[in-house]
Amino acid sequence: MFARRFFLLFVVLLASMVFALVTGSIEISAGDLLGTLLGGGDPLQQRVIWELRLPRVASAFTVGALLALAGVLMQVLLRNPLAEPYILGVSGGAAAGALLALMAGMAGVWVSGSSLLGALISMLLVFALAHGRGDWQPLRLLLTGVVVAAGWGALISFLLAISPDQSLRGMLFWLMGDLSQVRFTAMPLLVLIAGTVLAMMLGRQLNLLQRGDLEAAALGVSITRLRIVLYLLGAVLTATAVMQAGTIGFVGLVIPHLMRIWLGTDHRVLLPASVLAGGSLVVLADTLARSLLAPQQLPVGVLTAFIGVPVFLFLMQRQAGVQRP
Amino acid sequence: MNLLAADKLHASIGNKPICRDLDFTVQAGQCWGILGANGAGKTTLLHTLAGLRRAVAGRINLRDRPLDQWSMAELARFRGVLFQDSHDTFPATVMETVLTGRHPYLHFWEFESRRDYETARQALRQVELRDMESRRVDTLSGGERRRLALATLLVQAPQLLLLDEPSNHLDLRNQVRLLDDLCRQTIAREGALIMSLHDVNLAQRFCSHVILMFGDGAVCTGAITDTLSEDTVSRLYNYPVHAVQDGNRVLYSPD
Repeated sequence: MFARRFFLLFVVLLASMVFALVTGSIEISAGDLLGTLLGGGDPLQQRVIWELRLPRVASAFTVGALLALAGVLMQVLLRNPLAEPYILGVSGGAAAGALLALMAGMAGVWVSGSSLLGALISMLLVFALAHGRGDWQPLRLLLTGVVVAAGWGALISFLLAISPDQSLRGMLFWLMGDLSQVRFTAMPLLVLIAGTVLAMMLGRQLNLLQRGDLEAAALGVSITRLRIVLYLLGAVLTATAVMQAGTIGFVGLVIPHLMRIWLGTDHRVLLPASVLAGGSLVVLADTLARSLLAPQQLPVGVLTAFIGVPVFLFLMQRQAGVQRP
Repeated sequence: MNLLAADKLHASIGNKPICRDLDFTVQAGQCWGILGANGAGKTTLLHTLAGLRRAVAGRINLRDRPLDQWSMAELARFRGVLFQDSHDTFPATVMETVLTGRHPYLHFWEFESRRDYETARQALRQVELRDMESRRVDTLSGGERRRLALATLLVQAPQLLLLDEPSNHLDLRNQVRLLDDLCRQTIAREGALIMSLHDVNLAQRFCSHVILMFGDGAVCTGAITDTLSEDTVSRLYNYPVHAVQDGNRVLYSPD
């Protein structure tokens, strides 16, 4: 069953990537695409594929996969189905950093750098506050994170209120999640690969942790150590995603649930499935975001929700019917 | 062999002491019962003995080695714990849950083998949940969950079993049958059990020794025949009981 479903996930990923590569202001047929990827095609198509679309597809995939992975980790860490990558304030810190940079008239790498700095500050702040006297209660961590996030939210509103009109649009796009400014670099992809491998190695421990702290401890899991690793890993993954693309919503909350409904709660299956599905969703959403109202570009965060909400509700309805006859 | 030895153990909940100067030694083949009124600290004591909670003072040795020298993984192979209730936020299937009993024996990169699955199925058969393998745990009844937790312990197969009210949610037949099985199997591999119980008569049936917790930090330990009497049981629950002879067993009935 798992093999077939993973095959299907790969097909979906491949299809969304092909769709992304052939869609745009310059028409490229599937045949031309194959030719271009193999080194043929005319120079214009070569440039469009290799310099524009492929880097963007790669970035979209990486961001989606990072968010979905971070979402799974946060949900186990807090043992809470409402948890998502942004819940502990990492994204709030990142957003405040990015908006400050945008207000100062900076762009590109400066905005990313500034948002990374904000994310790191927020991560360490929550870590220090929640760590307290050495105990790591999920509820305490959750409340600390949520309150810090609320603080960032207020700061963000303040920045939006006082910033000049001409930078507002850029700031709002950043907040809704936007891939149009992204420049592909290898670092996020490496973070994704390393994060996925590390999380998979913890797979069985995560399965135990979601059953309860005492149960996991009785079966040999060092709860506090695992929690700290999860927190830091989740925060780094989130910061990496947010730094590139702003706060794309929905992926990190719903992809993990979607995969749980479809594949069950074993993290050794759930983690890689979420990576594939999260990546696919953002690739698809980003393609639609830049093509639906072309030449105008929509924020990708709007599209992830537009696609994800009906799919999720449909699957949940169907599952409710199966589980409780 | 001494599987567990407590030496001048002092445990408390907040500022309330639950046991003071508790000394006892559990040897292979023994079954210990922890008896006490509600809130006397049975669960806390059990968690302390399991190494899941720090004692205020005193020492616990497992196989003549101090508890704090055991690694988490070693502990998980030596002792197993049955908890009172479980979380359902992200419910796993019955099979996935039983297989968690194999966790202490697997390296982090290893998947459960065919043999682990066979062990798991065997345990499910024993608790009569064999045909529920792919059910989600949140669809099980209270008694079925209890049996699932017992099956997980059977798969973990530790030498020392610490059970928190194992008879909870179980019907009469399953109480007697499953606890009987568990005691027999554990003792067969040179193990021992410590269980907190609400029912003195179940303790009379299964336990060779008891720890009585009077709720104010006072404790009393020993062989069950030397320890339980109308007097001590009445004092334990703060309610008068009288002994009833049933064959060669003594049962306690509330007045």
